[in-house]
Amino acid sequence: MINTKLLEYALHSIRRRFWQRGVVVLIFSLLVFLLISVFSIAGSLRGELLNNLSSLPEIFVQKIQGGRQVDIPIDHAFEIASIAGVAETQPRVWGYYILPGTDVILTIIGVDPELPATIKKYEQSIAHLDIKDAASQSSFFIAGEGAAKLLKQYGYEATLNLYSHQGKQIVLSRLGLFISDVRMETNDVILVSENSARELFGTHPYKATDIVVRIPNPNELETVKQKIQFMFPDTRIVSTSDLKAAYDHIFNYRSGVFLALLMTTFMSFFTLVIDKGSGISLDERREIGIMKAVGWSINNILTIKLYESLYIVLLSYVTGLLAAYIFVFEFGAPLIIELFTGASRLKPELTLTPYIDVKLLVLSFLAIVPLYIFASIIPAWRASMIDADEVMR
Amino acid sequence: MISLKKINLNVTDRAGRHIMILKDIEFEIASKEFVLLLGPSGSGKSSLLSIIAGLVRPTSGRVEIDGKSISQIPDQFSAAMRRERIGFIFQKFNLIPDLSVVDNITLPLYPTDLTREAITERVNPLLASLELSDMADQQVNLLSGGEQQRVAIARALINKPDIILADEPTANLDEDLFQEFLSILDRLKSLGVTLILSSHDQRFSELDLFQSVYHLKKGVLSHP
Repeated sequence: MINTKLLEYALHSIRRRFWQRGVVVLIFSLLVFLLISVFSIAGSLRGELLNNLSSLPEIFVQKIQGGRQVDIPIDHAFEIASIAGVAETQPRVWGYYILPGTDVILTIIGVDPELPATIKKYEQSIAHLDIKDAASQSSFFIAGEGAAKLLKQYGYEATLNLYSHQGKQIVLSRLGLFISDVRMETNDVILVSENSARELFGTHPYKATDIVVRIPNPNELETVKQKIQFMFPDTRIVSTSDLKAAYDHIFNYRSGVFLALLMTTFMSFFTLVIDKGSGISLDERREIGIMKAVGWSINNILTIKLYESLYIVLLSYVTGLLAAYIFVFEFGAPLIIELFTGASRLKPELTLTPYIDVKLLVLSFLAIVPLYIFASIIPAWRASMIDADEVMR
Repeated sequence: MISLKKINLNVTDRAGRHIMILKDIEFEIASKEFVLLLGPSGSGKSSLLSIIAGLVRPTSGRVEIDGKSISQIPDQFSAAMRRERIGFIFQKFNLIPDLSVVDNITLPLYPTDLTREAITERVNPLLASLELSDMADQQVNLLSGGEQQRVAIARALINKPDIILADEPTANLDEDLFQEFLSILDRLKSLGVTLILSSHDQRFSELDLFQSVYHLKKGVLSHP
């Protein structure tokens, strides 16, 4: 049970040593802030990428020539579709487009609104749009919400002017917005008609950028990959699990770098804790002596030290946690995010999806809170074991 | 009644030498008795009072209060005994400088079950009787020596003790404040408490306030 008078004394004690305790709160908050910020960014990015991967087909087939990706003949799709275990294939025409005079990079995907596969892929995203209307006019574009906002900044709202590889202007009118749970997708993706995409990127009518292959049974994935490779030796076959492994490598590497940096911070923190553990100020020792002399037990003294350290460490933890959450998910983690995504100023900028890793919160709490409490209580206990008479003289 | 039986206190200095502080101290103090313990600095007066208060454990021997030994009891019991029965006035007052007058006075009551209202009811008359009401919320490090001493006395009285231990209470006071302290001692007498006062100040021995006077020299007690 909480002794309210001892709690009151503990809080008063913190107020009396405001600056001294304030520095500790500041250091702790900063530590929690850094720790939670870095791991929240990594977690959010990883979550977003994995979410993105889950919306992708199982396999991409790309044609490789001279070590570079080139357009792939569309008829490969029909041959791949004949492999047992393949549910569906779809040639895609897509590419990146740098908006002239800006640093905006858009992902332009050509879609055929009449194809069942297109409707299936985007049925949630464009369900609110009149697809038949889109089919009747080939010069449409459907922008993701983030991409639409970005385009608006450059004056493109109802229409979008693009330039083909031959410099020909292509004017597209906006059909609407597409909605997706994957923020990375809505941020930079523009859907256009397949014809517009072909014109824009100069893709031959019998060729595609790549072919996506859907394989419903994951156990058949490797076999299908081998069969495609055997059938078309000049192709590269990328599965979503390969992409996931690549992303994991990147994040494990970057998180590792941060872990090394944080270890340095932690070392400083431990030094502080050890320093604190080695003793308390003469004034505090004297105060403990006076308390004992007027009838406080060692237990009473340790209780106020427990209240005091709990208050300080919890305040620091909550402050650091809230600051990290606001910094990362409200302000987009300026400076720190560049360490993850690179320092390029390319647009659209990535918006981090709010993400809470309970395991991280529990681990960071357990790594910091008990340590500080012990570091506060042990010197107080040592001081309270000395004769009050000796401390007061 | 307080009984001291064969109290010895030895300490070891940094060089590892054994130093005798108190030797075979033995005397009894009746309830409501005023006892004066006279001796020069370094004679062991403060150590003896600390042993009586249970703040220091003797090397051998024991202190009994009303027949119960307090010398070897666990911390929580000796703390409770100090809190409930003893008021201690220290030589250097030993106040907490950045606490207010009221907070210093009520310090012994924080670990008790008394409510905030009960504490206020107890502290207000004490503030008034020691003329501290006007400075109740002031930090004690801003007070004069005499005022600080009154705060220390109020703190010793707040738990309504039946034993008061005063260690060189006038060491830092001028003549006027000495006289003021004597009037406070008169008031304590009327409260019916037991008082053990240690001092090197011979003026105390001239007073008829004390029923017993002991002399302590180099840790050895003598009764004149």
